Amino acid sequence: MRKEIEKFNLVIAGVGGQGTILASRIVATTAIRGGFRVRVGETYGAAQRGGPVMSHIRIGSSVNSPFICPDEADVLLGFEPAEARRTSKYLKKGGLAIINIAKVYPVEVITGAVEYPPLEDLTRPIETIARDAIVFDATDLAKKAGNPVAMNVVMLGALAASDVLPFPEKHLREELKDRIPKKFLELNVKAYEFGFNKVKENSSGETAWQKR
Amino acid sequence: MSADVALDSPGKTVLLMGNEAIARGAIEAGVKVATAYPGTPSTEIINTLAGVGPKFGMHVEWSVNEHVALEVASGAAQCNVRALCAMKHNGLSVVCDMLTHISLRDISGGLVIVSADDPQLHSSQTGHDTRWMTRTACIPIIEPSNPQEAKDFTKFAFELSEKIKLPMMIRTVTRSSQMHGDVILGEISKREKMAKFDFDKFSISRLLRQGKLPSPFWNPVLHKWLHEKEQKAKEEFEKFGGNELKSKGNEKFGIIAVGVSYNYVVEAVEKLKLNDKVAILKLATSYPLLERKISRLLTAVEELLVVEEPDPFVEIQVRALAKDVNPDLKIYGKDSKHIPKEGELSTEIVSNALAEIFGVEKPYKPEPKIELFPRMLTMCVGCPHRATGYALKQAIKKVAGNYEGVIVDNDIGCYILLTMPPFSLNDMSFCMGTSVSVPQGRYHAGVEQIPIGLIGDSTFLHAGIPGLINAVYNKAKTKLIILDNQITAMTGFQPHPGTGKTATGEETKSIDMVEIVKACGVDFIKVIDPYDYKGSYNVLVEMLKFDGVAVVISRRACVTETLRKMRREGKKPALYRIDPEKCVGCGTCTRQFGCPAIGWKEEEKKAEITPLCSGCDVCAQICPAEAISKVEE
Repeated sequence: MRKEIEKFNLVIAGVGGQGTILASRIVATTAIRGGFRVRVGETYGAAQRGGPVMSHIRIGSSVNSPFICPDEADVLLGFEPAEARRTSKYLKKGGLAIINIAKVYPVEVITGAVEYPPLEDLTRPIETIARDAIVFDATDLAKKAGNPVAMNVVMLGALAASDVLPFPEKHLREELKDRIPKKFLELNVKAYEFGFNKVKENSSGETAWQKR
Repeated sequence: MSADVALDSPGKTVLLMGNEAIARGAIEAGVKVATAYPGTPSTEIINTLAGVGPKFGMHVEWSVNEHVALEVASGAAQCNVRALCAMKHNGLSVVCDMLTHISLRDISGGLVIVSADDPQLHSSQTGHDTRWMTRTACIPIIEPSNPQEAKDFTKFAFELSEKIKLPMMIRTVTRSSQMHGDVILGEISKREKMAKFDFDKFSISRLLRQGKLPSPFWNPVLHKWLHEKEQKAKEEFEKFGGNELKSKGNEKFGIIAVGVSYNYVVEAVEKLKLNDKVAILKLATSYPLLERKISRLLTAVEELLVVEEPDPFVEIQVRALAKDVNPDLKIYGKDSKHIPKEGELSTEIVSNALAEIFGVEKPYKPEPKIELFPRMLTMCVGCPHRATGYALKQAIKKVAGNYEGVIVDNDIGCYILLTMPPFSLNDMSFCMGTSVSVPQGRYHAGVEQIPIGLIGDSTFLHAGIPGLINAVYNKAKTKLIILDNQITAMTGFQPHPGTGKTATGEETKSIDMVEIVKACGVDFIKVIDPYDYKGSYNVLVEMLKFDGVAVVISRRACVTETLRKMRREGKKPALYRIDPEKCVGCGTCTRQFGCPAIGWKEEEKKAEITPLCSGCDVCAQICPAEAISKVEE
């Protein structure tokens, strides 16, 4: 039985190795378990080599194309601030942006050929588009959970806590538990909780939630 | 790969990629033999089957090249079993000879060929449309628009192929290959796979002896049979549920949406709120043309738009048909310049095209460009190709005086990343194996430069060997470096005949590249380890100076594979550091070697090693100040 929602559009942006693909699979599979129609489109030609990776996850009865049109994403989940900025054209006005501020330098920055822009220059334009922008260091939270690699799961926790998904949050949690190998589960559940709590805590205050 | 591909749970809905769905379709169809040579965007089909196929009694192989892959699959399909052969669009160019032969001959098991086109050239050197070549062979073409169809159409293609004894083409493009979507699983075939070569049906000698083929010139008859089969395919396509006309019967505007384009058309029509004004024919079969169904649409409407990727393949056929059935019909598409002839389509492109035709405001404006650094393609940290490239550059400088003293023909593989600075080792590149043969033309033309080819191990085995024999035979004094990382790395680390493992992970004989090169008649053949800079440099200098065909094999396993193996074994790469006292800031390790693991401290004008380092040691060997050393634990 398919559930009827018309359209939910999510963009996940990051660089190769950050686990964007796994995060996108978890959201998409959760949606399928909930009986929704799903389309996922990805660009990852250079993913093995630190290139930009973008995943479009589309849920609902009216989705056909694997890609979201500019200005039509409900949520932008940015695993890296520059990649969030690069893909911010997809975020609709009044959408939600959740951005990890931990930078991943490209080779050109490491070798000194170009400079990495100041964080504010990357996040400010997104904040002007978004209804809400949740900007925090998810990599640091993942480190606290036990491994910076679990940043993608911190971000999933934050996404789930923002109450925008078309399925109950606990379904995402269950899917995560099914998918992550047992020996990494504790770490990942912790990472998920850290991301989840970060958003829940901040949504009552006015600080990191930049209400507008 | 999704483990759901192999689930024996008919009716269950799972998330599958288009390519995985084709693999599932093959499982549901009871395929016995599946072959391919890896190539983006088709690779996941055989990757998936290599993982799960043997469980279903399937033989799954990475063939040495696409031509061999199709020959193997064809051989199987004449023995009463179903066979699948997958390739990227460039692979279809390789198989054309066999393609036009197998379609002429009968098969007894279904034969489905998959060609995954890459119209946007995301990971290809060309973006051509393979449907023209497939049509040359009179092979019917089926184009799925989503993963569910990819699975279902694959199964349908096998049934139809077997029924009319003609191979079928499943033609995808990047987006239908790589799109993920919900797929309802079907029954897994319990088909009896009795292999049998029916001499009475196939054996040319026997058929001639029995007078069933005209002797001595029997081939013209086969051509006539082929066209009869083509007609049968046409009839079957008219009944096929994958082609669907969505119309209320009174629309004056029609759209033919082919394959993946259907997704964009539906969303564009929705966006512009044209639902009541247009009739949409969702076309899954682009050849042979669905004349009856299309004629009904052509006569019912006054205007028509054809949407497909990337060539006007259906559009041209429809224009010809319209001349007969409705000459007054106004046809929009690529010829009218409403739909671009290059690249892949999107909802934005189709929406704007429709807006222009209907005279309303275009819903999508060009996006203002964001000023942001690019993340360039680069070789991995510790990639042996970087070390080979660096040693080669130094050797070229030594022998030729400057970098323009050579012409470098590059090839298809990770080493094509040597195109970029600081290496710039790609004066030209074409298709698989051309780095062996094209330099010979340069040599015979009489250029003053030394013609060099750079080729990978898998690519050499795929298409390099005949070229090398030709060099020796025809006395072209070309140089060839085989960058042997013992795997097909660029498409995702598939094994090849030199790896010692089959697609399904079984141990097998490893083909000795040195023996092959020797057997081609090459007199100068040396093996280097690119992680040994001095040794590599000396041999490359010798190679460039050699008066004759010279081959150097630069052998070192792909670093990504090596690091994975080390992680599995709980080992860590050696640590290196740069002594800031000794570093003179010359930029050899950063700007000239270009290793992404070496950082640059702008204020101090000194280099530093970052935690990305894989411990290859090459920077330590090339540092003129001897400032880089291994950290002893």
